[in-house]
Amino acid sequence: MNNYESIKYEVKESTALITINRPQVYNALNVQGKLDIISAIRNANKDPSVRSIVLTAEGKAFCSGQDLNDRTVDATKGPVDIGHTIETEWNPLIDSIRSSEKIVIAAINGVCAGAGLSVALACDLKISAPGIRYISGFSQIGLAPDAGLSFLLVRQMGYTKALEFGLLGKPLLAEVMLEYNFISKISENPLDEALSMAREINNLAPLSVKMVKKNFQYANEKELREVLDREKYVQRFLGFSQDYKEGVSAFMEKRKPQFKGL
Amino acid sequence: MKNFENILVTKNYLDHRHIALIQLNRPKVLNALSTDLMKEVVEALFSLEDDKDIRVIILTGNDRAFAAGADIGQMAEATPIDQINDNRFRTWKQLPLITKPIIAAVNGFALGGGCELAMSCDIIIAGDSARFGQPEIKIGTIPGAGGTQRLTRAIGKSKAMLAVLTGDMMSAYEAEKAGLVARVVPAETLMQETFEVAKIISNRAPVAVKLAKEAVNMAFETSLKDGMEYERRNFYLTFSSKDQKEGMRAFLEKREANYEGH
Repeated sequence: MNNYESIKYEVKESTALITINRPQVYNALNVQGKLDIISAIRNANKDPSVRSIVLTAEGKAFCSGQDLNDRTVDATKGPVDIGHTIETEWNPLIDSIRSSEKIVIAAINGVCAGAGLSVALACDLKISAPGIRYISGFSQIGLAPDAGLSFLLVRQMGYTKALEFGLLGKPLLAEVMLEYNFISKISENPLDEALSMAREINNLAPLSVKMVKKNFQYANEKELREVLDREKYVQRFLGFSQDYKEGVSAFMEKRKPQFKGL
Repeated sequence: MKNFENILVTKNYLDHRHIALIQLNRPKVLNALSTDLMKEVVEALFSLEDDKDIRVIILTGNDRAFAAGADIGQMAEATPIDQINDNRFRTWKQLPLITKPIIAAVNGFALGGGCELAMSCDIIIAGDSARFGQPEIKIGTIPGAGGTQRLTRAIGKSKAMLAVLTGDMMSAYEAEKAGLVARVVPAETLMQETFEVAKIISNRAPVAVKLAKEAVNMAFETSLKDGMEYERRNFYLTFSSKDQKEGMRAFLEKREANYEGH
């Protein structure tokens, strides 16, 4: 299970820690790097001892996006089909984070660029070190933001600011990202902060955590009427759960609840 | 009810005397629709059709698959004559003979025969992780249990062509947008929410429900003029039922109707 080339994977106190480990290339991701992260997130979701996931990186960068040395995207030797790379590598990576039933917290230790920014922002919660630079960079090499970045930027910044950021390639600092609510908080030690947030989440009822995540994603993309319906379905489901019973009993008895994920 | 090998049948589903559940139960092969499985589905349906207590039937698979197609192992080396002699579609031909409403509750894959089986039901409710498709073209053949006909009627020619000619899958939300699926609910809540719909229908006048189902189905078989004529006959026919009198009286008396099915 721990045979990863490009990442390190460990489970500590119910938290799975995924560390991107290609510091020599600023944690740019080749095919294997992306597949490793996808597989680690899948394993963490399958592992009943894991309740949340922290994604971080080794070295100075968090992730600098596509590894341009990868044969599949190297345009210097002839035309390449990047659509294929996106369909089979980047989009599945973003999907694996978005559809992870366990919360994924990014501990952003260094620069995020290109699709690396997409990966960071696709995480559920984000803790950044101060002064970190966030860069789109796509337009600087003749491409357009991908892996969900257009969606996230426009939702969060509005069209005009998003376009300026997406086109002109000027980095945004962590402090500005915080103002735009892209990240949850800034910390001198983002990994410690992320692990501590993970511990809080690990004490919550797993079904509740997973449904809150799903509901909020849904709410970001749908209309109120649809969200109201979904809340009804989910609340009926959670209302029948053992953990809800436990939660209410614990509240009444003024003790800490023991949630089982049932 | 007798013990089946490939399906599980539950009457009094969730303690409701008017609702029955048929669950396809070949999880190791993603509920591949073998001849034996289809025989059992039809046998169970006819038995529930005869059961006076049952008013609504739910047909479902499991979390991973409603049904992922026909049993390819069973037919890879078959000749046309084998297929003719096997006559496995005779079971499928009997599905429209069921007059009680059948709701397909779909989580996971509904592919090929699985998609066709879902479409043979009266209403499809899908979990948000459901995938629909007619992938036969990918293995050198085409749908054989109504895929080209029912899908075209459900979602129109252009979308049906795209699905049937590429073999690509549709997500639950795409299927809902296209009109194949009546409602998408969170995957975890699928059975409960399908049950809620079944409960509503089971509280409606059973004869009217049957006549309505028949009339809606006639929309696919006739000209508009003949269909309208057919509908009107069924409308008149409801007035020969006690339940129609009860329904209208209850409405005027501002109380819940109590239908007995005659």
